[in-house]
Amino acid sequence: MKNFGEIKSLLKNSLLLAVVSVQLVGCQTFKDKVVYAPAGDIMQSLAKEHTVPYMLGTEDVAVSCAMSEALSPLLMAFGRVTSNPDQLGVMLGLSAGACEEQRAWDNELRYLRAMRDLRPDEAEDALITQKRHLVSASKRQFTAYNHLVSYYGEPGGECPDLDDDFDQFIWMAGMLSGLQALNNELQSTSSIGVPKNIASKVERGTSCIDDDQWWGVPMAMKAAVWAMLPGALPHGENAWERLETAQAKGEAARVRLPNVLYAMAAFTNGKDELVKDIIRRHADQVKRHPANPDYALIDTTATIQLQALSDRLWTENTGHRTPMGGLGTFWDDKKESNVEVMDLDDLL
Amino acid sequence: MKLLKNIKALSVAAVVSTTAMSGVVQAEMIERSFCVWDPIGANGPLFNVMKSAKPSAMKWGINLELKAYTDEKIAAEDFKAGQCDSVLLTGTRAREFNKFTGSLEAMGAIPSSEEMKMILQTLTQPKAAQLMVNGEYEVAGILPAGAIYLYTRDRAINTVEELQGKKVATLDYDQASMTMVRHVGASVVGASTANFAGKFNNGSVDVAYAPAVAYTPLELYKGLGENGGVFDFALAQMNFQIIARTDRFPEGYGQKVRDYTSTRYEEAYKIVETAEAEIKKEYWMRPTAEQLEGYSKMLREVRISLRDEGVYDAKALRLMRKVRCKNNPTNSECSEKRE
Repeated sequence: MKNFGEIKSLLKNSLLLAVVSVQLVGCQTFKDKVVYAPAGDIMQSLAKEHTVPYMLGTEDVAVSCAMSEALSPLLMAFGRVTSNPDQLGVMLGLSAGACEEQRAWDNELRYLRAMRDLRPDEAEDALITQKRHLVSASKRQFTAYNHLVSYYGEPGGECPDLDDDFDQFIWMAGMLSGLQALNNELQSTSSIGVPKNIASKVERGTSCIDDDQWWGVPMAMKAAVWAMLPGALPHGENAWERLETAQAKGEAARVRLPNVLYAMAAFTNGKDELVKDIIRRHADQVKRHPANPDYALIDTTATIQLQALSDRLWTENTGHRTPMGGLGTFWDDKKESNVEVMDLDDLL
Repeated sequence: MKLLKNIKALSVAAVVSTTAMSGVVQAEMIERSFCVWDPIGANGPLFNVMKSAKPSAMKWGINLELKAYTDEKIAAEDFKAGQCDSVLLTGTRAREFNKFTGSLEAMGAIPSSEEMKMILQTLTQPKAAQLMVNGEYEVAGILPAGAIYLYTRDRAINTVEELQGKKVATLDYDQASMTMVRHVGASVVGASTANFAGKFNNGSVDVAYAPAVAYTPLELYKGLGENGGVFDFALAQMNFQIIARTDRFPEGYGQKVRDYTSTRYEEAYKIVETAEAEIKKEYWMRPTAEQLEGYSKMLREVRISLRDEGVYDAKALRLMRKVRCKNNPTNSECSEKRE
């Protein structure tokens, strides 16, 4: 009898547990489907229709970077209850990757200063720190590229339906992420699994979007790959001429992103004088022609990326980064002044 | 008054010793150039690995100035002309500066990474230093780059006999490769590291050879297509070598760099393993044991004749034979000792 009582109580408890569990599960499903999913959809469409265009119109790259780092988990978590926010993931990954790139640059400069000061331990430490940030940047950018692949399919094959401007913009951003992921992985000297054929795929994928509409960036990406990947240059093409044309398109649109790709290709090929000319011209253009207000963030990002290259050259040669207001100038520039000077002979 | 005098004396001593110390650092630090061949240039993997070595070199009193070269031939020429104090090249290009280490890429001489690791470790020993020096040049480090495989656009080309009359993208500056291609009756189509992949992918050649690290970046799978295959037989073990001009560096520099380089072997092999894993399983063409034996014998004959012609170094071939025989002592070559 005692056993029977125990069994009865056990059954009762089990039943109660089962009912509670079913209710809880049901409740979770209810919350997911009725509360979170619509919230996710709203967040996604808010981000697509307002947050992204708003951010693109601002100039504060640091705020955009901090926002991407902070909001990535919140926004991407909606992928658990509704469709995966892949397009948003491309933007967030690209932007959050740039935060890590910035940290890597600072350590590159620390490395260069330490080498100048003959402090190898400090230099080594800076290199290690730099590589850690490059690995992290590369991972974030590769995640962004994977979001692109999961939404549109792998670049390099048939072009996906890129119906509207937003699709085309994301396509371009995702491919830039892929190139950056590869570049940062190479520089980190680590193997984190970024496929080495991204460059070739991106080179083909750029043909899916209109070069004039996107400020010469598609051609600049293509030509940069030609200039950097051995054997990639098609017969009869000239990567440098194409990059120069892309530069002019970027300037005309006042979204001067092609300059970054041009300068990267020049730097990789050891054309330091060309790098300096691109930076000079960019700084001059930015002073004279303000950025396209719809894409101010991209124009500013280009300036910051070129400033990073300029800082590297300045630090290598002087020990400090580009002076304030000095973007477009270099330590070895001949100082010329058109202000007239007085004759001092009768005073001496 | 005495105290003041002492303080003064101490200050003078401190200033003098500080100046002297910084003088020592400055005096000991010598500026030397290092020309690095990297097909991708200053943002490439080899250049960045070499950049990581700069702080270590500084601790040995050398401030290395790195310069990236995308053209290996120009890097070798600039080094020869004295424009670079040291250089990083592939083993085959390095042969003109050190026949011994330049023969480590000899065809079929190192069957797998296991033997390659043994050779690298052997050559890192200080007593191997004399093999590293050749007149005014010293090999200051060897980095492994993995096995070189044969890629064919048509899987029907699965024996050496089938290679007859087929077009092979061949590095035209490498006498050994030219001899080999002609030896099997194939026709040489001159190629460089920059254009061999394009020739293979667009069908200008039937066959190409390359390390696995070239497979994904150069999209060799495009040339392989539906019908192609990769022959699972290590034609050679590719490697990169750092060559220094002995008169431009202090004594002991070569050994220090070799020791440093040996700390990077695992890293290098990880990259190679990842690259080999990227080759699709269905592409691998596995030769039979009998075929393997036949190819090994054929390549041995080619090596011996290239040695007799003065292309390969006899000591290097002997070392590699000894390593092969350590792993497979029953091989007939171990008793014949022709290498």
